[in-house]
Parts: sequence; C-alpha cells; structure tokens
Amino acid sequence: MKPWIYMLAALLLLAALPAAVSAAPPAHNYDCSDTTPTAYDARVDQAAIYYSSSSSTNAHASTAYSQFRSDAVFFFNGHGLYYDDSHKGGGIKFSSESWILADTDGHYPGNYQYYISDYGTDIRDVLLAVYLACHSSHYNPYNGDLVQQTMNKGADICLGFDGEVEVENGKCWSGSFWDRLRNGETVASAASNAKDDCYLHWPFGYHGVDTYEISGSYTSCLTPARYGVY
Amino acid sequence: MKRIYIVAMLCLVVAVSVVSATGVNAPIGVDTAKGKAQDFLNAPDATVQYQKTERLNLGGYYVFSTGDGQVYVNARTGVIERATFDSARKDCRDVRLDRAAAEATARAYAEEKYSGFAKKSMQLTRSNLVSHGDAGSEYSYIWREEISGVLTPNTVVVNLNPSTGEIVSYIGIQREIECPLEPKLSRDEALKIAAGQFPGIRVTDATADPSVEYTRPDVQTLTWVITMKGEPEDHVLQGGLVVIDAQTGEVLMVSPYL
Repeated sequence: MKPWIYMLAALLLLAALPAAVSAAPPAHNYDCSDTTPTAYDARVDQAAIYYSSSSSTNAHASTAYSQFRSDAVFFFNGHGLYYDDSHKGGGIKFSSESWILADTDGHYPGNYQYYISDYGTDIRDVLLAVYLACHSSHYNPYNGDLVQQTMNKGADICLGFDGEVEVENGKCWSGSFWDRLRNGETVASAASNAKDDCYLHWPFGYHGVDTYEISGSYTSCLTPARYGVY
Repeated sequence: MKRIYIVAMLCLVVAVSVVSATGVNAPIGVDTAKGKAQDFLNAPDATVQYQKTERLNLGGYYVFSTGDGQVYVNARTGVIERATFDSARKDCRDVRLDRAAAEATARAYAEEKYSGFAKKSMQLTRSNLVSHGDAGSEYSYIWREEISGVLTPNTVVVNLNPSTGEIVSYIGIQREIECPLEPKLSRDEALKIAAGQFPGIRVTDATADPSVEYTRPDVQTLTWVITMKGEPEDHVLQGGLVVIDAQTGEVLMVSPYL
C-alpha cells in the first residue's frame, strides 16, 4: 500500500478524535458553600464512566443556568432557600446572592434570579439533576418545587432533599452516591446505600440525608454515559 | 540444668502470650467472612462475592456483593454489621403496613440478627415513615443503647418496605464501651459552646445528646452531639450540627446547614 494512504488514514483518525471526545455527554458540578471537594470528586467519578465532566466552586447562578442547557448531568451542593416566615424550598443559592429557582409568585430572594420555569425545551436532554441542599425537594408556595419543575422541563431523573442537610453529612452522602453510581448502581440504590454509609460515620445518624426524594426513572444507572431521553 | 528448664518455660509462656494477644486483634480471613455472610443470609449456597475491604473509624469491614445487595462483615469479629437487599425496594409506593405492624416486623428482625438485643437497654430513638418520592417510601427504625443517659455506639437500624414488610437495609453495631460515661461538660455549657460556633445566631431550636462516638479510628470519645437551628439570614437556614468533647470542651466538628 502506498504511504500517502497511511497518512490519509492517520489524518482522518486525528480529525475524528476531537469529535469523539466532544461527543461525551457533559456533566457540571458545583460546590457553593464550603462543600469542597464534593463537586471535584463527583467530576472524577463521572469522568471514569465517560462523561465530559467539570467542577467549580462558588459559581454564579447565571453560569450554571446557562450550562444546564447542554448538561446530561447537573450536580449542586450548597444552600437551599428558607424565608423568614418559614416557607422553604424551591431554590438553590450560588455566589453573589444569585439563585436558581423553580418559579416565582412575586418573591425574589437575593440579587439575581434564574427560573427553571423559563426554560422551554432547553433541559430536556438532562439525564440526572441532583440538588444537594436543604429542602431542595420541598414545595414552596412562593417559588414552587425545584425537583418537579425540573422534571416538568424534561429531565429524566431529579433528586433533592425534603429536610435539612448539613455540610459534613452532605459531603459523605455525595462522595458515596457518585462512587456507587460509578460502580453501576441504580440511582435509587446509590441514594439509599449512600445514606446508610453516612449513618456509620460520626456522629451516628442520618442527619437529614435520609430525606432524599427522587423523581423520574429512579431505577436507571448512569452507565453507559448518555443524555436523557426526549 | 534446672535453670535452663525455667528459662525455657518462661520463653514458652511469653511466646504463647504474644501469639494469643496478636490473635485477638487479628482480622479474620475473607473466606471465613464469606461463610459468615452466607450464614447471615440463611443461604449456604448464596453467591457471595468479595468486593472490597473498607476502613471506618468504628472498624474494618469485608464487603461482599450478594447479587441482591451487599453484606458488611466486621473484619475482626466476623459479625454482620450491615446488609442491604435491593429487591426489597420494589413496589414500595403503597403503604399497606400500619406503624404497629411495621415496628413489630422491624423489632423481630433486630432480635433475630442482633445478639443480645433484648438484654441491652435499647431505646427506640426514631420511628419514621420516610418518603423518597417516586422511589417509594420506607419505614425506618433506629435503636440506640442508653447507659446512664448516654447513647452508646450500640445501635440497630432496620429500614423496611411499607407495602411488603421486607427488610430493605439493616445496620447493627455492637462494641464494648471503652470511655467514661460521665461528661465533665454540662448540657448548658455544651449548648453555649455550640451557639458560639454560629456568630449572631438567633436560636429557635436546639437538641443536645450525650453520645459515645468514634471520632478517630478505633477511639471512643464521649461527646455532646448538638443540633442547633436559628432564624434564617439572607434566605438561608442558620445553625447546624456541632460535636463537642464532653470531657475537655473541645469542638470536634462544626457542620452548618446547607
């Protein structure tokens, strides 16, 4: 065979390589309240199962809101929403008092607000969204239900927490949850086993990580790497 | 000659002591642990596959996959301290068992699997029906041993399917108590220290439990475990979890709410 054929084949392979890499479904992970390194650890686990994953600390909500449109997997670890009058849930807090909220009835926490309800079909490719925050699956009459709104916009699976979760147990749950997903467990199994993992770390107890709620196809695994079904 | 015999006997006694002392803390083998896991499952032919060895502050575990979940075998004692049953999670959306029936089922399982459950002073510290959304619900029962008002590491957790009554997961920890159970720090002093970890907090609710915890590998510490809730600031709940050494007053953990 002539040398130019080898060279042509090599060039075609080189050209195809970036396309193959960029075809990996994206995953974005956010640590937003002294929760490091959970986003980085999640990123490592997702990369091991061939997601094109990245992580950041103290991102602005506008960044996450924008990137969500292209995500297969979205993970947030930080504060949830809690009003002075005890209405709670419906939002997650990013840097500079910026929030991603399910919706609004005229209540606007913080300085910048971005609404899941404003997405059209933008997040229908999302396979899994995880909101590790206090009351992130709790319905708030002011700002709606973050998990349900995410599902309404087409995500396949969404996980939030109905109760209070604190930083250390959140870290424990997150580390175990993503590790178990990496090892092929279903979302429901990983969430449940991760909560039991946390029970055995000091101090004994679930401390809120047992209040997780999953919407959608909870028996799915993250492998093989893919987008959600739309 | 007589002196040689005495020296030889002394050497023998020392050697036997060293060997037996080492044996007390030596881990059991994986094969032995596998047999224990099969015994626990009441299935001598069950496919039990070694997955990994895991090290926690409260001890080391051999972790086995059972095809339907996992079994954690204490690497020193061979006791099964944790088991999960994936198939038991199926059809757990409908709540068919009432609380009394669920608790009776959980208690019966605890008595069967946890040696000496009925003899210890096990207090039911939690009994909940917990919703996991589309993934269904589970009844969750937690017992902790209480001695002189102090919670010990001896605990049993049974989570079960509210529709079928099948056991979804089990945890059973059994340890000798190796630390004093009288705190030098009072509850009020502990609460005051905890409040100091959240400057400016306006406390709305707080609990403080004296509890023996494994704060370092194989080391028990008598602590105050405090949950403190405050009024929200900037739309974020204030407070969190604080763990304080009940003898020295040292703050061992501050974990704010997310």
